[in-house]
Amino acid sequence: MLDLSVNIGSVPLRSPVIIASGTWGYDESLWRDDLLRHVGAVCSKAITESPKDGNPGHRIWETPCGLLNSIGLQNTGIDDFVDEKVPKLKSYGVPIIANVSMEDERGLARMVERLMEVADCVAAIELNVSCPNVDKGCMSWGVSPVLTSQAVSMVREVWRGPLWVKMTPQAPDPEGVARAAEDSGADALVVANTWLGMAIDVDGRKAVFDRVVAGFSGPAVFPMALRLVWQVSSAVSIPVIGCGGVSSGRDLLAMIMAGATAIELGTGMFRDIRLPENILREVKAYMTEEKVEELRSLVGVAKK
Amino acid sequence: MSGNVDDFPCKITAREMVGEDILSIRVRCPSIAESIYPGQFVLLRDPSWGMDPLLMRPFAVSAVHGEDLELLIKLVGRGTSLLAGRSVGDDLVVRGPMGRGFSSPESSPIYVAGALGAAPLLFARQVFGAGRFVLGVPGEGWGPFVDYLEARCPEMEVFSDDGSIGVRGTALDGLEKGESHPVYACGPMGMMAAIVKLEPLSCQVSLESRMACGIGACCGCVIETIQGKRRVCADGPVFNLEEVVWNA
Ligand SMILES: Cc1cc2nc3c(=O)[nH]c(=O)nc-3n(C[C@H](O)[C@H](O)[C@H](O)COP(=O)(O)OP(=O)(O)OC[C@H]3O[C@@H](n4cnc5c(N)ncnc54)[C@H](O)[C@@H]3O)c2cc1C
Ligand SMILES: Cc1cc2nc3c(=O)[nH]c(=O)nc-3n(C[C@H](O)[C@H](O)[C@H](O)COP(=O)(O)O)c2cc1C
Ligand code: FES
Repeated sequence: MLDLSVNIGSVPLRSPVIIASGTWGYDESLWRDDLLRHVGAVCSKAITESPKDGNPGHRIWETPCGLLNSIGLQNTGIDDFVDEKVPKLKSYGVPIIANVSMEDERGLARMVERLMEVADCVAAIELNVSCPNVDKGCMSWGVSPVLTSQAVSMVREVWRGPLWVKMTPQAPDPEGVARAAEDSGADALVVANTWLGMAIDVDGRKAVFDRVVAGFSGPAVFPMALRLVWQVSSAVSIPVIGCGGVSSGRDLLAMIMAGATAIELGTGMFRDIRLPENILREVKAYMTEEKVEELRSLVGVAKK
Repeated sequence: MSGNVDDFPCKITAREMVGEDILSIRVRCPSIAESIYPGQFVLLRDPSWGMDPLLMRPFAVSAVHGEDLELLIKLVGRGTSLLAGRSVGDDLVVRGPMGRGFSSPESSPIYVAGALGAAPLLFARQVFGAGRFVLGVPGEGWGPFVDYLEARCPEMEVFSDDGSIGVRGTALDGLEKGESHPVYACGPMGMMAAIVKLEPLSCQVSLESRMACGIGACCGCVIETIQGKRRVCADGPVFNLEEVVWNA
């Protein structure tokens, strides 16, 4: 019997495949067992203190093997998440990871306090200090070890449950940020979020996005995300969750071999709604062929 | 979003170029064919694309024939040009049925189409019944497309900007001010925005937007409405004319 279950600190997951924030909807028709049976957990869309309308203008732009997005954290706010979304989501039986987007300290404290009311329905908080698509806060916290540590400590004061920190690949010293998060009480690190990019509309002779820069994701970023996973997992002793461009079973295996305990899938879900199932089929075939019984035995093997 | 959205491997069962850059194809997809409703759409990907193009492409369904979906596709860029190179028997991946369609009319509707906007309206006509069908096209080069549509919809009233096909003018020249029949419209944004000035008693419009997921997850396809930003893929693509903020 192949064992694909993993533990992210104290959070047991039946599958190493987690759906990344911002890439799965709340519509009931998506939370069917036949689609989600192969998924370990689903991250919520970023939650902010107040509802946000997101960015004007173009929001997505395809590139060869990649995707630029400038959504700008459109969401209905923490009160709607706690009062309306969580009661519905908990009935589906898939662990929910609350992706909390950090703008400022007061907002963060209020969000975590509200999440405490539904702590038994939230498998972990994923502290997002890494969104590149908003002017206020967010990524500016994640590029600095000191500010990351401050943010993590603030959540830790209120939140006793599992706490993951979603890092930005824009941090000049990713190991420093990772260690700061670990030392301040993070239980796991998600490595990483989107990469800063941009596009020019050559016909229109102007930048495609109103904010000029946008977040880059998809298969094109996989080698860079893999490198970060290797680096960060060597610098900390808490579990690392690989995120960036994963789109096949072999990508998942590479992330695990580089030191990740699980992975998050984002953009890949857009082109294949059954990607978790298809990835796991490939991983199981590999494990059978190679006589690997427990997926977790492969964590970091490429470094040994 | 209604129904059970899923990705289905499907085969192309028929293909025909209707003019220089418009492709008509049929894909066999029984489960979508039996559940799709007029105004809903599908997303397509060709397995031969690999990761580039990365995203699926959205298209309206223009008719359902038994287990087959019929689509009308204008070749505008990479994805659609690659699709035009595929043959009968080739594989596609089809996701659907997506979005909210037209609501069923209380009296005979008027269909108002700008060019490829005819696609969802032909399917609406197939399900809701014939009514006036007004089509506007640019002119030169659109003859074969118009012939193709007229073969399916003999009552079609055709306008062209340059007067080379049908009557000179736009589809809106076929509408009366204060139209009392329900209007179902699909075409360029400018055309649909202009319908506002005609003050029809009721009008539903089918909109387009660039899409990443098509399932309501990414918020990449939003438009401005009087209730704030709404997702074209899951809250639409059909909206009431008066809901949409046209100058956004
Ligand atoms: C709900 C919906 C229904 C649609 N129905 C039809 C249909 O029945 N027939 C049809 O021919 N087209 C339809 N479209 C438009 C179609 O999706 C695009 O033309 C197609 O995705 C372009 O793909 P491409 O790879 O060839 O173009 P790309 O290489 O990606 O882009 C080339 C050009 O196409 C334009 N374009 C790209 N995406 C869209 C889009 N979503 N809408 C409008 N223009 C776009 C861009 O502005 C660009 O200039 C529909 C779009 C939506 C959202
Ligand atoms: C359209 C879109 C919306 C996203 N929204 C969020 C978000 O709300 N919060 C967040 O932490 N990450 C968000 N992300 C980042 C993804 O969760 C993921 O970290 C990133 O896309 C890299 O993974 P991928 O290459 O598999 O997509 C978003 C990504 C995309 C493409
Ligand atoms: S395309 Fe993703 S929400 Fe509409």
